[in-house]
Amino acid sequence: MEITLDPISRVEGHMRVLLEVENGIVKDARCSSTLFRGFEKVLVNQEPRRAACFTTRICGFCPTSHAMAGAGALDRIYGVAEAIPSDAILARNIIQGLDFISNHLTHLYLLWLPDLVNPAYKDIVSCNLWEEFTSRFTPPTFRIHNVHVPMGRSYAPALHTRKLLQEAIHELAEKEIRPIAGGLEIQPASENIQSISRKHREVMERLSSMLGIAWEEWIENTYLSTPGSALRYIEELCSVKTDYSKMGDFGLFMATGADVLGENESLMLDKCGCHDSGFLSFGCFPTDDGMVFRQGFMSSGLEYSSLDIDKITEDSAQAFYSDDKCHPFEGMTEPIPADEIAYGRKYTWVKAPRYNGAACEVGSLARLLVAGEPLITGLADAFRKRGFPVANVYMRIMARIQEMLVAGYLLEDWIKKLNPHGIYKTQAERPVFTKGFGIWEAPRGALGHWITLKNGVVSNYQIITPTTWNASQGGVIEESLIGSPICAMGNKYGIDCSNPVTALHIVRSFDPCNGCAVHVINKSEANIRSE
Amino acid sequence: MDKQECLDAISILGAGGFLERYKPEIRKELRSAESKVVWIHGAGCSGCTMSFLSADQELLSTILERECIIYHKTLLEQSGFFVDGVLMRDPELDIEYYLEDIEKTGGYILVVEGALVEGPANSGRYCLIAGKSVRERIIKAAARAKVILALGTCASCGGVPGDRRSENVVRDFPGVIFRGAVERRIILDEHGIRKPVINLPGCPPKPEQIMALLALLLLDKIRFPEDSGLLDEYLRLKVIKGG
Ligand code: SF4
Repeated sequence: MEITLDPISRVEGHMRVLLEVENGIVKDARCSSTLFRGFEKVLVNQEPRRAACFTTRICGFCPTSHAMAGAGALDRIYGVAEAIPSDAILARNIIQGLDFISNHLTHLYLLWLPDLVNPAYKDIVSCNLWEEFTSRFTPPTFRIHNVHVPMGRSYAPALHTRKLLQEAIHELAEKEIRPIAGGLEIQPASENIQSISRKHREVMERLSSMLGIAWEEWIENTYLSTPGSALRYIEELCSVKTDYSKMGDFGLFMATGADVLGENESLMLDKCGCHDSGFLSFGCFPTDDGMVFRQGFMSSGLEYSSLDIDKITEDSAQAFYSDDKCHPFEGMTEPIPADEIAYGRKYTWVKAPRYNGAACEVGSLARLLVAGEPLITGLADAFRKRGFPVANVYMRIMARIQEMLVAGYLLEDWIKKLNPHGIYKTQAERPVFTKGFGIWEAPRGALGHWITLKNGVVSNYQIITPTTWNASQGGVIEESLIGSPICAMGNKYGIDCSNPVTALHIVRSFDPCNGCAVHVINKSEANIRSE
Repeated sequence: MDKQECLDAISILGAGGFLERYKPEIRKELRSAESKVVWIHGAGCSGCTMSFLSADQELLSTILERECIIYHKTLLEQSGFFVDGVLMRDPELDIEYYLEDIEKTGGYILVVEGALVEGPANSGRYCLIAGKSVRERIIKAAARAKVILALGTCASCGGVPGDRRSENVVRDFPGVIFRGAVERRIILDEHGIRKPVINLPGCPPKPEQIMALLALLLLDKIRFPEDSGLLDEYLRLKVIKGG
């Protein structure tokens, strides 16, 4: 039987997933991004700063990340990559930290948690739990059996927190955030810094109440602890049979999401969305002592190796482009003609990046595993010891929750160090190199911009975004779907092909961003002529 | 709060000032507003949605709680479900069926975010949703709308992907009415659809501009054809021209 999910709601952009299903188990999966915007045609032949600026309109969820990756590429092209003042590096870290929290909150409350009010759960979880899910996480305009369900009480506060975070980012960057070679555009004054600090404090209070535990206590027992103790801490929290209504939103998810943890009923989200591929992170938050989250590759067996950027290649054999496989600096492809755009051998606009020839997962989970973050590492060890894959839906959501709290904790110190008299920019006069790349961790994972110039204008602007890693053909989303049951709790309560709720959980757990995923550099006609 | 009062307030105080000053009245009227919004994404980046979500949070909550937005792919619960190619007609789960249902009733405010997609070679296949081109989808939704809001530069005139440097791109990604800054398209006319269109360019437009304009429409403060004179030659509301 063939199940097509098209369009998939609550993901950025246009997405379709085709599932071949037998007895409620996915036999084959094909993930398609269904919009081509011809974006990079616009970048070719532009002045490099203008081109990098345009990239912020690839995606409305993560303009900040594109601005930062673009800035990294410009830093190299302008020959100032080694000369970025430490104040500017600090400020870029702050922007990134705030952006992680903002995007993860958006993902959780707007895109993922509403999955838990799927009617499939109505009669199979306890009444108390169902009551908590619906009263907290219901998205706007929702009905069950034709009865209006009011919007969840956590929805509006999450939106409000997101707004606070965006406002804090705008204290350090223009509203229209732009990639700036050499540092930042804005010199933050004392008022700006105070405002960031105030907003940060408010955000942390809100995170504590979402968690149900003071964030300081949580960080002490997880991020500042060892994997073993962090695991024991969360196991203890989950084993107390508490009244659900007294738990924070994150606490509720933590306690009821995983089968292997705790004593409460569980949604078995740790048994779905699994794969055996590795994890890749470009690393983030550079400081004088190196990166706070190191970069590298982590195999599914949790063996670490350092990052070699030249091992990245991109393949477009299954995408709607003429075939090629190459290093991003050379990646030029043409879309295939109109009459060939159909879901057959080729079925998506997303090209397939590979690391050392293999697909990998990127995002919070990859970042924290590669960095050896204690809580996520502790949980990963626990899954592995019990013979379960480290990659699963539960882990992905937990990693986002943990990353928000850790970023929030790190920000506290960084914001204190912001200096109103600091130096936030090195002069970057003119391009001195013809090639430059910027790599950055976007909230959704590893992001890279590769720019090549010719006669002072862009001749190639290649971008590899997080979702290209996760959502490409043969990528981890497809891999996670294959072999998975489609319905709630591992099909335990039956198979309903018209509501494959687990398949949706899996796809959305990667927070796919289709706007970002689809882009191709085209040799525009003008460019071909000038060559 | 009548039409003239609103328009005067906006032209004097700006969109943000208007919302600030009239917030209690707007919220009160929103609670009994009958109008609904159907929000469809074409070729865009969702940045306009994100901008809208940054608007005044009390007004936003009222709009969301009152179910003023009845279709929005990024925010609502439903997805499109097809089993062996057949649409599952469950209105609670199935966004496609849900949309058909809404279209039957008609009379909604259609918000288009992102450009229409005509390429390649006028096939529209650069953007397929549930097997159909997004152009088809927008035209179909437009047919039963009472007014169309082309939100953002993409929907107004093609936007970033429609940057006029590349002729291909301009041809392939037009706005609802305009292709590039000046060329007026008749794509709706071609399909016999004569509906009022308001452009709100800006990439993205400011949160308060989106909110103010949506509030005016939801509260029926501006109606068409009577109020066509309130638009300029680019079909922008003279008092909220966008950025
Ligand atoms: S107008 Fe700008 S912000 Fe809005 S969808 Fe288009 S590119 Fe994104």
